Amino acid sequence: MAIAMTLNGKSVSVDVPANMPLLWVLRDELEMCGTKFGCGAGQCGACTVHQDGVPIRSCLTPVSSVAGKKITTIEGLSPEGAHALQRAWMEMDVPQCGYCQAGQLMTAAALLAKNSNPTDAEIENALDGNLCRCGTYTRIKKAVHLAARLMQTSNASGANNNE
Amino acid sequence: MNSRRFFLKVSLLSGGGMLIGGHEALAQGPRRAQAPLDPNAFVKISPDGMVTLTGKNPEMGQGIKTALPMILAEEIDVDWKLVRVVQGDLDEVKFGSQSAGGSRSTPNNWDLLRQVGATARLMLVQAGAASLGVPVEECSTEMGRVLHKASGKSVSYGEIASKAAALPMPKPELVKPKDAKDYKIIGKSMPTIDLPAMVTGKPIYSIDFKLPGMLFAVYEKCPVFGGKAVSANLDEIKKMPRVTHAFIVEGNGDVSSLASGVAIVAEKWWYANEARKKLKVVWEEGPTVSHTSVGYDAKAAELFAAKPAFAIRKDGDVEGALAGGVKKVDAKYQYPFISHAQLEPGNCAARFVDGKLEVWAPSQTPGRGHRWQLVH
Repeated sequence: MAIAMTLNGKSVSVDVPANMPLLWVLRDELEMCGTKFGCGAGQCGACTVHQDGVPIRSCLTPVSSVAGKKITTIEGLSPEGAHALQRAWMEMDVPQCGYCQAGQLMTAAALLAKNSNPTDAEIENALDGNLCRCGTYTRIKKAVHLAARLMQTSNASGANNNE
Repeated sequence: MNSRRFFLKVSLLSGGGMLIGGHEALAQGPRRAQAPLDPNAFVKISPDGMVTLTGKNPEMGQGIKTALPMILAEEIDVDWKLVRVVQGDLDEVKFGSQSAGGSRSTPNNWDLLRQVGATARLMLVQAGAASLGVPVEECSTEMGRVLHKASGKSVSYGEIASKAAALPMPKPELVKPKDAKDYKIIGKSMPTIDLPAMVTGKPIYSIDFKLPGMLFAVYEKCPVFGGKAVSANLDEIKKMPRVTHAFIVEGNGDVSSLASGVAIVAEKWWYANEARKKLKVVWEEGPTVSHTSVGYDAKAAELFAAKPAFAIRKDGDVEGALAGGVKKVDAKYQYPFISHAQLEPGNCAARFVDGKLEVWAPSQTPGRGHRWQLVH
């Protein structure tokens, strides 16, 4: 069946079974491999994308349920890496293998969009479901704080973030 | 500490032989390098001075794709800002042993890559001296240039790179790696090479790799190690949407190699995995069916209660110290039979053309797969 959605600001339509998870629509139908397949069971967070600004597990989300919704993936955060979180991630050299980081970034982006200055506890709570096999958690936390500061600076100077 | 010193002494004595010796020790398969490694395999310098270095070992988050090229860049004496790193394909003749494990990649490659980088620098100095019309011995290098301090003349690596690459490899004993006090790159924290790609979602992982018209397979193995697939509802599976093939793989009888199972191939991974949910297999479980975690625990308890078989190490008077201790802590630790799995699911892409199998896979030990193919 044909399913239409807004993906990273653009209208797209795919003709796939209604129960195909959004993850596989992204990775195999639309050739957007930034969103990662980890566990396929909603347990690791590597496949996190935004549906209308809310982080969801794309591996468990049937594509039919996002018809007409706004989906944002890591490729839409900022293709040039200009989002405050991406800049903070690079500044802090956060990733090791990097496989979970798209999911970490998307969850963190949703957090900062509704809470511009989160505490340690709020960051831990929001990112609790995103596993990192390399154990980069302490750098992730530092980088979220740094991104929050960067966003405040850029908002003060009138610049606009993508999210 | 002693063993390390011993190794350094041996490498000093044997000079260039160290390279050959290193290979002899590491190469276990039929392919074996006999000559020092060619710097041209590791280093490419374009006329504009951009330096492309090969990261030879598998990157799995330990940072080796950044660390090993840092050693090369240091010895070649180039500006890290002008360095690009590419992942080396599997070619253990060209690059030496390519594996990751035991935190050994840096120590195992340290001498090797210093020698390769210093050889490249010497070849650049030779080409630079010829280009400037001055004696080689009077030249030095600095950040991608060959300098002749006496005359104040200098030439960039980019200008002489193609001349240098065509020179014969200098004798290993003429090659002098830098003194540690002169290091500009080693010892500094350099950002992970793939950092920008990681934070923007670029397809850099094996699971992201695709070939035109590629099919996707899932493989159902016997839940018991060493078990065999006898039969399966293959006709039903083949009728599932977008499934192109379904078949039983016999396996080669080696539990740690090709296990028997059922392969389901489809146009996309999800279709193959959907079909797998309907798969019904008759397994011949084999002798290891009697192995269980409960059985392993019981065996461990039995062995633990028995007299120790042998001592791995014995320092000081343990019994005496324990008897005289103020406080005694008793603890038991158990470790399950568990995979030290990474987050990226096991995967691999393969192309079989003209009798050759080409493989793209996230592997710690790609050479082992290569040798396996050669053997079987």
